[in-house]
Amino acid sequence: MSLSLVTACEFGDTNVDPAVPTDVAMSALLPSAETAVSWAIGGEIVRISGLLTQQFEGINAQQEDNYRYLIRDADTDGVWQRMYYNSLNTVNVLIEKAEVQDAPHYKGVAQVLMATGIGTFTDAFGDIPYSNAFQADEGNFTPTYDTQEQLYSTTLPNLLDEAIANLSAAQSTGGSPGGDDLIFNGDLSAWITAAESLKVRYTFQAAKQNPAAYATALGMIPNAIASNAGDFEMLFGNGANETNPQFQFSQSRAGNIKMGNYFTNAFTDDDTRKELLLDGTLFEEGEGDSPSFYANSNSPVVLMSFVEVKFIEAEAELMQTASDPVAAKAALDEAVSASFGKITGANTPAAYQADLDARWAAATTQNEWLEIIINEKYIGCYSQSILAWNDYRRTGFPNLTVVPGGTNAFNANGEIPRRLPYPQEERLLNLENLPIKTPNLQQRFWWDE
Amino acid sequence: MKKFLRFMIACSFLLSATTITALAQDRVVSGNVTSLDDNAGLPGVSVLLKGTTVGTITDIEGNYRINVPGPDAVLVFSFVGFESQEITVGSRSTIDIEMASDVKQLSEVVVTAAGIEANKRELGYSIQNVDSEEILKSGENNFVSALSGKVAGVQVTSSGGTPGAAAQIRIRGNKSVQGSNGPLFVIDGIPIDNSTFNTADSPEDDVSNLGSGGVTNSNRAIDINPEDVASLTVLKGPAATVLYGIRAANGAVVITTKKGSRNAAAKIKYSLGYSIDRVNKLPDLQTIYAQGAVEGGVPTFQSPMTGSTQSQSWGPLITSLRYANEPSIWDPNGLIVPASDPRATNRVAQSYNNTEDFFETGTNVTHNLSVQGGTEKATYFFSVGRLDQTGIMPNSDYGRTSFRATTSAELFKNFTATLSANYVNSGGQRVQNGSNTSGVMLGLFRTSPSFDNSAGFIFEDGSQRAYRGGSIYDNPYFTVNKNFTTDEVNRIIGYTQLSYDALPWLNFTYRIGIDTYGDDRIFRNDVNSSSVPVGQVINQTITSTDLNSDFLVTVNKDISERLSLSATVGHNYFNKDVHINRIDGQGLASPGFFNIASATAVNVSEGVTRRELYGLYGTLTLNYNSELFINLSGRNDWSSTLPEENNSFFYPATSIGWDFTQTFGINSSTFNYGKLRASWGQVGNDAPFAVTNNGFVQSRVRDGWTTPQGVIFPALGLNAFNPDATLGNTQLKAETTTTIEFGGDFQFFDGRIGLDVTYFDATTEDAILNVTIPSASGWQQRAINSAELSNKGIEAALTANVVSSGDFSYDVGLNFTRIRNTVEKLAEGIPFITIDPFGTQRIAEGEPYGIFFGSRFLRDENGNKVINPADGIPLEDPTQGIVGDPNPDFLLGFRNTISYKGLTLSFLLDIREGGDVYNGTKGVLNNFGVGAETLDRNERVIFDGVLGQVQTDGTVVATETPNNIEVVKGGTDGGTNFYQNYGFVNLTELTIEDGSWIRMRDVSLTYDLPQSLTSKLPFSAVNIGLTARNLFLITDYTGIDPETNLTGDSSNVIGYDYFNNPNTKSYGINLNITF
Repeated sequence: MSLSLVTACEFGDTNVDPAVPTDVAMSALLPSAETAVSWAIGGEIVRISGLLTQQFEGINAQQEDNYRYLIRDADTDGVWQRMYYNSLNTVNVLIEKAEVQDAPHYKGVAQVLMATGIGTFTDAFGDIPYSNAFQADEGNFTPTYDTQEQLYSTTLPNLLDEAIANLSAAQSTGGSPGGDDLIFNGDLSAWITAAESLKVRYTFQAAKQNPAAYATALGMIPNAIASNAGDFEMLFGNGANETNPQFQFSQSRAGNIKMGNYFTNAFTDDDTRKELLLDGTLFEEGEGDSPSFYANSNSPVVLMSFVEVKFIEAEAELMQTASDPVAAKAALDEAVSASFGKITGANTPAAYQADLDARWAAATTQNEWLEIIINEKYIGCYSQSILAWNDYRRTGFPNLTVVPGGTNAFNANGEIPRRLPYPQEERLLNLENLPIKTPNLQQRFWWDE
Repeated sequence: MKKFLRFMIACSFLLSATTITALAQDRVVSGNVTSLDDNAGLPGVSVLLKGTTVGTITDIEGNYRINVPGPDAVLVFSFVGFESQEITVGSRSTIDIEMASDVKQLSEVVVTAAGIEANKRELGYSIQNVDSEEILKSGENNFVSALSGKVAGVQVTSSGGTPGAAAQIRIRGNKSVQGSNGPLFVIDGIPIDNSTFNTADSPEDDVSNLGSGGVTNSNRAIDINPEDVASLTVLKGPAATVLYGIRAANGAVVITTKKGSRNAAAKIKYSLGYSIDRVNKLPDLQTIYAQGAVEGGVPTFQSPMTGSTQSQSWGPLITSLRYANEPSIWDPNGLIVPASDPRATNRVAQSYNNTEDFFETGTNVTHNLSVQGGTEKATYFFSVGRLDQTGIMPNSDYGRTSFRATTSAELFKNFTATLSANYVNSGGQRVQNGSNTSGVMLGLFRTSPSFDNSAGFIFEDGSQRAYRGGSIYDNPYFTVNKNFTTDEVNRIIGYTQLSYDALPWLNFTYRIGIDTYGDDRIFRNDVNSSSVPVGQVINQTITSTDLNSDFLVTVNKDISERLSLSATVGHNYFNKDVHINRIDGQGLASPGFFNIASATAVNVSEGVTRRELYGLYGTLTLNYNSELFINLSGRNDWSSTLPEENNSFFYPATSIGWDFTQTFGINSSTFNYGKLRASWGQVGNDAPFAVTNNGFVQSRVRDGWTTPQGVIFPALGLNAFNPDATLGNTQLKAETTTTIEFGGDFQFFDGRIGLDVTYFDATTEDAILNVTIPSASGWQQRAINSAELSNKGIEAALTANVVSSGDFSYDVGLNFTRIRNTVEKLAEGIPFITIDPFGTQRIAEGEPYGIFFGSRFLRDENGNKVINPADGIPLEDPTQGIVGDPNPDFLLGFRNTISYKGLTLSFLLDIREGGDVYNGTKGVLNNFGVGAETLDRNERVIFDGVLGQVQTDGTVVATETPNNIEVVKGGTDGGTNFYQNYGFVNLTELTIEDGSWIRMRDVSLTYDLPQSLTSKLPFSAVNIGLTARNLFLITDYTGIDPETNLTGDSSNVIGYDYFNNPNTKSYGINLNITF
């Protein structure tokens, strides 16, 4: 550099951060995408769903506030950022990269992850940005919202069909996932089954609006996950830097959450899952506890399970126009047995099965059978995504009593919230597109109306 | 060079005043004239043979040589700004003179940009000197804290009373949204680094430097030994700083260190200081209610003894509880039970003031030794200083060792070389604070008064004894003993300066300086600590190197008898290179084994920040008849942080000063001096490092509750990356601040009263900011040019010699600052930017900088609170809004100095009016039932407001019915608890408090031993003093000392108190001996 330079000056790569490469391989993005989606769902989503359905009780700080239905818009900034920026933007960049590099197998995997994230998030928030999202690099900083109805009726099914087509492609010139795939280790058929299962879930979820969906969902079940071994889940590790999100929460935030009384009381004495799923002080004490099935260091985060497929089948058989309680009971037995299998490695204890049979036999109405199914699912799908809260909002079961002191400006009638408030960052930065300007946790969205 | 300029100025002054004739006489007398202030040689001093016109002036180093007729000859030494002296020659051939500055004259010599010295009389812009004594009087170990209350337009905020804590300094307010708002620190013409690096929970937080937990770190100006400072000048506006370029966009603090003088015998000085520190203010906590909660309408005792992890103190009166005849590991007095329990004895349970018991008396010991002097051609100054400080918290300390050597020699005629080196070793042991379950204050303040923290913090099996049982919140004693952080800085600041007077009016100077340090930190969380129960050790090494080179050509020439010119052109090169390498080790093999070999999972990261800058600059000053002074300056910079096409930018400045008393011949004793000044100037600023491009960062998957852990890649056998949260911008250009300034300097009553007033209006345009963008757009931030901020203010400095009678004098000095700051514009569609870690502090359009934003009461259109009809408690507004402003209305420093003979009493009253502080600590403590406000928990109240009505859609509307629901405020009857109704951190509106204060910033009583006494001792001067700092503090703020800031100087956060470490007051004694 010399004094003679009077216009621009060249500085070479002085302004480039050597720790921030301008491009990385798809195999470096996929583990991040999978971990982040699993973390967002298995961490904050499982916690909020569990707090609102009393599987957990918040006993300190923010968790206690949320347990008492005090959920401010600022409280959801974190999960929103984790889902959109940390998780789904990486997924979207992977989709775009796979297109450019002609790698349909990567694209298909990424599309399944996208459908998992978007589908879970709309169950928490209702209308959410999707078709207009992830475009800041093209200059769009204020994404519009897709309605929940649109997401359920066209967007998600189409995305999953596309994913299945991509995963089925004969050739993936740009490469295929292998050891970089932390979920299925590059097993494309497992991914296809996961996509088919999500299609079942999303079809079924809309049934409160469209009762015909029960039958449609039943028709799709043969393609879905057919055993616990096929579960769509991510396993975490035992290393101090790779442990499960609930395990880490129990370590770093001991004394913030404990198991909810309603949940611990829901187990019968014959339930061998009880001691594996909870030990009274699961989240309360950090040290020396025997970690539970879903909160061990290397526990899985379940994104969609065989157990869930069977519970869907049971409920759909019961609730479809041509209600079939017998088929429903058969599916319920399979669901319960799959749950025992997953948690304990053994079959349903005979005493437990007998008790279930007796309860089923004692019930006479569709609604009573439904309550049995959902009560079983409340335990069987514990710690699986947002399912417990979804089931409560869809069916009103389990028959929870509201938490005292749950009236506040966001939840004026004190009932169990029907949605999460949109994050404050959306209210402040994207107000024009925001569907609800003033947070109200009782405002129901499309499938809950 | 500086001296040359001073020499030339003096020449022109003398030429117009006296005719100097050098005549051959009988004898030669020579000597050296130095300034008493800084012991530096004083150039341009008139040496006149009394009663004649025969005389000479001292040279650049202060040397003179004059022929005298005989022993009766009297020499008159005079120089503007100094008291004249008359000396009878006698038989001496060498006469060295020390000249004292004349307080009655306002002709300070000041150091302006690029190290150019000037007479303050000739400047067209505001500049303020701080005496080195003022800095020492403060008793502060951090040089930046020492400036508090001493300069108009300057606000200094310490981050807390822990040893080595950072202090934040702002000159004329905050101008940048996300860039640094700190001024440039310059020592002997070499800019030095004043960064504060936080050891954040993770490397990405290091980059954003918003770490809200962790320890209070040092700002690196703390490495300057205050004893080495000869003088200090604060440059405020761009007209003053333009030659320093963009790095002085927020003003500059220009320090001149002590130097030896030629032909001076070695002078040895020793000083000793000893002081003690005590905590000066703590939040008021209740000490009568036990740990527990209201169960079924009854306050119930719950603690680890009852198998509970209860965090709160909503239990029964402690006096209602009894010890049982049954031991408990949680209390040495035994198990605590209700009086009704069959096991109860008649021993009433004790309550503890855990907070007061925790703090200790800290100590400061300073030693300083210096030697200075010179030969005919060379000067030298050597010093060594040592500071040892222990904090008010157990196991906290800080130390600093400093060596400085500055020598200068005239190698050959008119060519002088100066070499200076300063080596500093500093660092200490620090304790954690802030939002961190291992933070000392968090565990300390939240503890129930029914639990004694000091009765042991660890059980034999290694698990913790803490008020919530095991490691949920760390026992503060556990934290200070097991979770400490250490840092050690090794720093060298050195420079070489070559100066050549090619012609009497032409000088070439080249100066190259380097400031380089390594900061080695070890951050520890022991096994069973609550934030990282598996244990953690982080080794972090920060290596920072600043290289600065300046080449200057200076011309000083008289154009005519009345018009003189001085001009400088220069070239500057600056290169900054910072490497932050850290090794995160988690899962310790054994408690207390804090070596990376102990960790079961190790992650390494390597961070780099770089900046290169070239500058070309020039300045031209015209002096007409010493009454009118016009300056034109400009600088062009090329910065590496801007896109190539926009990386060159130019900014000019101009100023005018007019001594109208000279023009109009006003020289009455009531009004003896007046100068008006006006200036206009711009200064550019570049972008932060690497915001022009996009990239991918190594993934750390986590959420707000699992930091600092999460899945830290490489993990699970794989490495992984995700897109960086910041979207690059290739269109960035330099931001510009334009300042208009008007002011005047006036003297009355023969200079006994001096007034310096300045009004300024500074507008920053195209401010570069990293705006938050909706995450649903895929990214979270991007850097853009858009904001416009304005700072308008009045600065006034008043000095008055109130009484001067014989041996008694009383002087006062006032420094007044009033700044109004407005964010005129942010970016399109961006109504705010969050600048704090929790989203409470923001920059919002049309509002002052850094307003507090948060939850507030729901109010109807008449401002009445709307009351929840279900429980009688005021409702919260579902939308958040502005609830406070951290900017003070004004700052006032009021110095009083009373002298009688050798005895001097001096004190500085420091007043801050206005300026909100976010007392997040209080919000949580009230929720927990330990805040003193919750003592009214059993009172029956009807909250003011109108009743709300719940609509079928679940929303609430206000009615006109006044609230009539009587409730128990703390819900101790089983009703809603007002203090817990708004959640864990409480309603923000309830936690914003006025941070005004009046404090006795420093007091000193010093005594100079009379000459008659010292002449019998082997010393030439002895001075002893008593000092006190923060002797008293008057404030309505209910937390710790409101002079606090969670993130120190590492961010633009202001007025933020969330479990910050408290501040201190000190008492000390000083001894200064000159041999």
